[in-house]
Amino acid sequence: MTDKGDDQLVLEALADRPTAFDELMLRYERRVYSLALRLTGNTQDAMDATQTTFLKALEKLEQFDIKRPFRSWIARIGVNEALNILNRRERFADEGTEPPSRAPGPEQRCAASEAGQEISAALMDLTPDYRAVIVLRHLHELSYDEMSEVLGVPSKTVKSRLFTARRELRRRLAETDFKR
Amino acid sequence: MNEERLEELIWLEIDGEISAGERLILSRARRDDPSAEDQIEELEALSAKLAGAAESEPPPELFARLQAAVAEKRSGATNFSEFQQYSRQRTQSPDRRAQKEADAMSRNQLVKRFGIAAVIVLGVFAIWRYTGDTGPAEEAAMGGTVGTAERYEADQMTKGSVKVDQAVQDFMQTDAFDRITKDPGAQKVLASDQLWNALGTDAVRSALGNAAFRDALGVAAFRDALGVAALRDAFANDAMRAAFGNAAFRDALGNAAFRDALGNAAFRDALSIDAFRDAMSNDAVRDALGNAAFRDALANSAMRDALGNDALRAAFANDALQMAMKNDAFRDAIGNDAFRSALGVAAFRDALGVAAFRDALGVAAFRDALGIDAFRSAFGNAAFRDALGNAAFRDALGNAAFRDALSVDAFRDALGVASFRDALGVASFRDALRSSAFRDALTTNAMRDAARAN
Repeated sequence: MTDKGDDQLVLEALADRPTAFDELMLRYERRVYSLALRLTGNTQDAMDATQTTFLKALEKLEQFDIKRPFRSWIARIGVNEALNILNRRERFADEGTEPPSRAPGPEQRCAASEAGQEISAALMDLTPDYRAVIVLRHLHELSYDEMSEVLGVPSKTVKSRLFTARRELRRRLAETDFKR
Repeated sequence: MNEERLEELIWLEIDGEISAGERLILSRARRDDPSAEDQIEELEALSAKLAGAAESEPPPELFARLQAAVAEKRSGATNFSEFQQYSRQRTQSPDRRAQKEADAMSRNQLVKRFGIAAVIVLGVFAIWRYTGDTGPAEEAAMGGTVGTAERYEADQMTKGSVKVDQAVQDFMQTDAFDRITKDPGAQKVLASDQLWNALGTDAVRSALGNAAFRDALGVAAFRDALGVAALRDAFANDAMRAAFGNAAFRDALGNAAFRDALGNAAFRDALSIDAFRDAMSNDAVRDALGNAAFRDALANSAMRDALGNDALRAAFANDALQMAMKNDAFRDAIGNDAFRSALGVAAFRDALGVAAFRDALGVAAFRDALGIDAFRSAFGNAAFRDALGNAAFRDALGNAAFRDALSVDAFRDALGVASFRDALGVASFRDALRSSAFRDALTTNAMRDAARAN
C-alpha cells in the first residue's frame, strides 16, 4: 500500500490511473464492509452494500470535494447503501416474502469474539437510525459534525440520537447479562 | 445534577466533543458525586468494547469482487455476474428453492446474455480439469472444443438462436458440465468476476487456446489481474502469451506495479526476452515497475538485456537507482557492460543518488572507466562523488593516467579540495599523473597546495 493521501489517490483515479482507485478500495474495504455488516447484520448484504458503495463512489468521484475527508464521504455512501438494503428487506417483508435472516451467518459466528457477538446482537435490536450513529461514531470515529454531514441531519440531532442509541444499547446489553 | 445530564456530559468527554463550560460542570460533578467515577468507568468500558467489536474482517474474496465490479464499470463490459450467480446458486445453495430458481434460468437467455464465450470457457474447463494434463492430446481436444464453440457462433449468425440454444443445452447436459458445477476447484476459477469480464475481450478468448494461460488461471493473483484492462489487451501480444509459461511471471501478476506496467508497450515487448521474464522473480524489479521512468527505460533494448544481470536486478531495491532511471544518460549507460557490473558495487549504487554522478554518466569516458576496479571502488569516497560535479574532473576521466591514479587513496582524498579538482582541467597536470612518484606525492598537503597554485 502506498503512503499517499486519500486526496492524492482521488486525483490519480480521476486522471485514469486505475490502481489509485484500487488503493482507495483496499484502504476502506474493511471499514465500509464493517459498517455495512453492522447496519445490515448479514454478510451477503454487507458485501453487496460494499460493492455498490465503491461503484457509486467511482461514479461520483468527480463530485467529491477534495478538501473534505474521503473517509466521511465514503461512509456517507456506505450508510445510504446499507440503509437501502434494509429498506428493500422491509419491502420484501411487507410483500409477504420471507426476508433473509438477520442472524449472523456461521462465518460471522466463528470469526467474532463472544463480546463482539453480544454487541452485534444488541446493535441489531436497535432501529437503523440508532445503529448508524453508533457505528459511525465507534467504527468510523467520526465527529458529530462529520456524522451530521453523513446522515444529513443537524449536529444537535446527532448528539441526541447518539445519546438515546447508547442508552438503548446499554439496556439491551444489561438484559443479555441478566438472562445469562 | 441528574443522572441523565451526568451521562450526557461523560459521553461528550469520551467523544472529545465537550465544551470548556461543560468540562467545568463535569469536574464539579466528579468532585461532588462519588458515583460519578463509577459511571465514567462503565461508559469508557462500553466505548472500548464498541470500538473493539466495530471492525470485521471482510471475506477474502470481497476485494477481488470489488475490483471486478469496478473494472466492469470502467470498461462497460458485458455483465457476467448473473451467470456467476447462477453457477453459485446451483452449486452452493442447500436451499432447494434457490436451486430450482437457478435451474429455471433459460438456457436460451444464458446464450443471449453471456454469448458464446460462456460455452467456450466451460468447454475449456471441462477439458482442462477432466480429460488430462497439458500436451498434444489436450491441445487437440482444446482445439476441438473451441472449434465447436466457434461453429456454434457461426451457426448463431446464420441460422438464428435456436441451434445455439440446442448446442448449449446439449453441453449443459453433459457429464463435464455437471462436474464443473459440482467441483469446488473449478468453481473457484469460475467464480472469478475478473475472468468473466475478461472473456468479453477477444484477446483473452483466443488466449484460452494456450496451455500456459489455462494453467495460470489456477493462480488467484492471475485471476485478479484479469480485472486490469491493460493486461487483457496485452493478450493480443505473442510474447505476453508465451510469458505465461514462466512461473516468475505468473507470480508477478500479484504485484500492482507489475500490472500497471502491462499498459506499457515497451514492457510487453520486453516480455519476449527470457532474461526479462526471469527477472520478474525479483521483488525489487517488480516494485521498480511502479516507476514510470523505469517502464519508459524498457524501450531501450540494452536496458531489457541488462535485466539478465543479477547485480542490476538486485540494485533495483536502491532508491538512488530508481531516481537515476529518470536520467537519459543513465538509461544509455545501462547498455555499457562496465556500468552494469559496477552496479554490483554498493558504493556505486549509492553514488547514483548524486545528480552530478548521474550527469557524468553521459560522458563515454566515464562509463568506460567504470570497468576499472580502482575507479569503481572510488565511489565509496565522498570527495570523489562530489568531484563528479566538476567538468574538469569529468573530462579528466578520459585520461588513462588519471583513472589509474584513482587507485591511490591520497589521490581520491585530494579530490575533496576544489582547487585540486580545478587543476584537473590543465592537460599537463593530468599527464603528470602518469608518474607514480607524482601520484604518491599527492599524499602531502604541500604538493596539493602546489597543484592548486599551478
